[in-house]
Amino acid sequence: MPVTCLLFRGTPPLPPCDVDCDERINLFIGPNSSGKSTILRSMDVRLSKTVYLQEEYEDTEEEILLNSPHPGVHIGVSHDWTVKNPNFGPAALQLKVPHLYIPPVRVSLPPSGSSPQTIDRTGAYGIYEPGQHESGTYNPHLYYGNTETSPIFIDPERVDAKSVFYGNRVEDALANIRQKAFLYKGKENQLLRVIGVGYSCVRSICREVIYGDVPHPFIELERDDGNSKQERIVHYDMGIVTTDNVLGEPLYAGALSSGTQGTLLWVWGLALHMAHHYDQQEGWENRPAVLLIDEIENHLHPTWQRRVIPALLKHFPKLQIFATTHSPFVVAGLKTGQVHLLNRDASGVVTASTNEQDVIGWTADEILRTMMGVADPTDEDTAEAAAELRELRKQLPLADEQEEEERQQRIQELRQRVNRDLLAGGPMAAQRELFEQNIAEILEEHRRSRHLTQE
Amino acid sequence: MNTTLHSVQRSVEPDFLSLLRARYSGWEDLAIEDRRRVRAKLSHDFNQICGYCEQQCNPTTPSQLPNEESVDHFHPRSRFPAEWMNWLNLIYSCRRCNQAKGNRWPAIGDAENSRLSIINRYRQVTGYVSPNSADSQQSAEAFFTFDIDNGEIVPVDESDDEEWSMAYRTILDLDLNSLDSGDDLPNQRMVERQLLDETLRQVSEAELRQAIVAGITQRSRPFSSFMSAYAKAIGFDV
Repeated sequence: MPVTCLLFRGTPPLPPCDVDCDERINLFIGPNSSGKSTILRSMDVRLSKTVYLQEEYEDTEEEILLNSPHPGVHIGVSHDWTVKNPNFGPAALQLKVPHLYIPPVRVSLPPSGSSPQTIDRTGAYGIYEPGQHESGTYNPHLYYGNTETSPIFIDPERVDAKSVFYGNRVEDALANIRQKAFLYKGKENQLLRVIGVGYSCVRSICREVIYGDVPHPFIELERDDGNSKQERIVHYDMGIVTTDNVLGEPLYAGALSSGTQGTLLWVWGLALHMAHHYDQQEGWENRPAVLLIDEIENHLHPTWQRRVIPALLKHFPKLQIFATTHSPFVVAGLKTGQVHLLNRDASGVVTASTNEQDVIGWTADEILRTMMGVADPTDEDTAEAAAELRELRKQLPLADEQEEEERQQRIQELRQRVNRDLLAGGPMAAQRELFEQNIAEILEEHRRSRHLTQE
Repeated sequence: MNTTLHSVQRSVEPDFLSLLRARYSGWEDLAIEDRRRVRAKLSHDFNQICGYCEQQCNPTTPSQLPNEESVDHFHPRSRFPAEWMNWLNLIYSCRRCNQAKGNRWPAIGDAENSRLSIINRYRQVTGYVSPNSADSQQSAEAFFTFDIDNGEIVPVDESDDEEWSMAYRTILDLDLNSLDSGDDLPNQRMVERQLLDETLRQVSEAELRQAIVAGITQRSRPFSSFMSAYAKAIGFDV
């Protein structure tokens, strides 16, 4: 079992509190500045310090609490996720699963205005920030520049798929490897395999997120000319080809829609990170890993938002996801214990709570109303009108005739602006409210007629 | 016979209708206030209940919801231009039913009639079942009944083939068993039934129970036909 609990001890704005984790998906929701990103960032820092000395952890039957004398988050992990590391002393423990933190900004635009350099589309794709290996932080940026200057980052000390792939298009990256073959000394095949394996997995995920289960002609393109070389397949089968493909030209990543780019970039980042961690062994995608992703719905249309989490969970059966979101479409479909709600009360104190029932079958409106604190999911003016109308309807009739008339007039006025479903809080609630009104009328009539017959 | 769709006793034509007929040449030209006036008068006749699906209409919906009130021309004005302001041709209807009906009117040999003729009982029909009780045809009550376990409206089995076909075609064209999201009529009927069950569970006094059922099955309440069918089924006298 993966990360079992989070104990927050000094991560403002969160008060000290304990959160039990779900083994697959933990979604943090709450208003802005309630601490969602803080949770992910502090987890990233804590998980990055992979070595723990004896006095810093508590061992129970189920889990080991990765503790620290410093404020922050303490993380409970299960035994099988750790391994002894004698290099750091007899009792030192090391976390043996990889984790990846993905910040909320996925695609950054090229600087606008005139550039001293001629923009060359062939170098449109480059994403790697040196020096961030250790925390597992993945920080994608799209660079525009020519092939020579775009940052294909190759670290001779640390040859991994990550450092090679995020150059230009796959073919360029491979050409680059060949040119500098002396740096790799026989690792070329391995690299090719990672890219190939990572590719097929990413392809399925992106395909599911973007197109659902419907096969899409762009994605379905296969080369059938007998050219079975891995890189050719990668090149043509990437799912990022347009009609240009008729001419045999690939579409550069920088020319894709930001939704497609955004998804491709981090899903690929995750796949390569895992493949690298498990040394590209067969079945790496079935091994455990932790994904920390901020605002998972970024750049995605609601129909895509609904598919992200199911696709990830399906393709990485032992991936544990920690994500934040502001979208009801991501929350919909989750089960008990998977949604952690952060709330800030009037005095500014944040509290955390976990959902006690499945969110399966809920509508976006219901989620907005009950979990995200949007009482009336409409424009603000109408929401205010609805609130005022509810207030007015609650009041007793006023004694002053003139005032009462004004009140009634105001009610009529507001009624014109607020529809019944909104006022009641959803269509079902509207039907119930109407029914109760009818019953009240019927009972009143009945009471009156009985009164008359008695007299 | 187990007849249940309530038909409506229409009031006499209001005076201002002849004025409108004189002032305007067609329904499209009607000023908003005049349209509202006609609608208000109709709303009174129909107790705010849609003449076709019997859901309660929303008179003040600013947002094009399916239950927004509207005025339907029973004989569509594109085919019966003379009837554009015939009082008995105007039916109070929800937006949903009005749109489903559109300018359709069955005729001998039309596509739908031909398509449906594969059904044994089906005879070609030349009209829909009118919600007006005063119409020359037999009143609507003879045509429809309900499947109370799933909220669906169905033609009365015992009626003759012509009546059966007319009811069948009306249900089909007006989509009275619509399952569209946010507007699924069978589901709404079942919710209504459940709400009645909940209410009755809290009341033990027989007289009061009877009063509640009598009230809820009046024509002025939403889904009253379905509710009468249900009330009968659970042993009430309606």
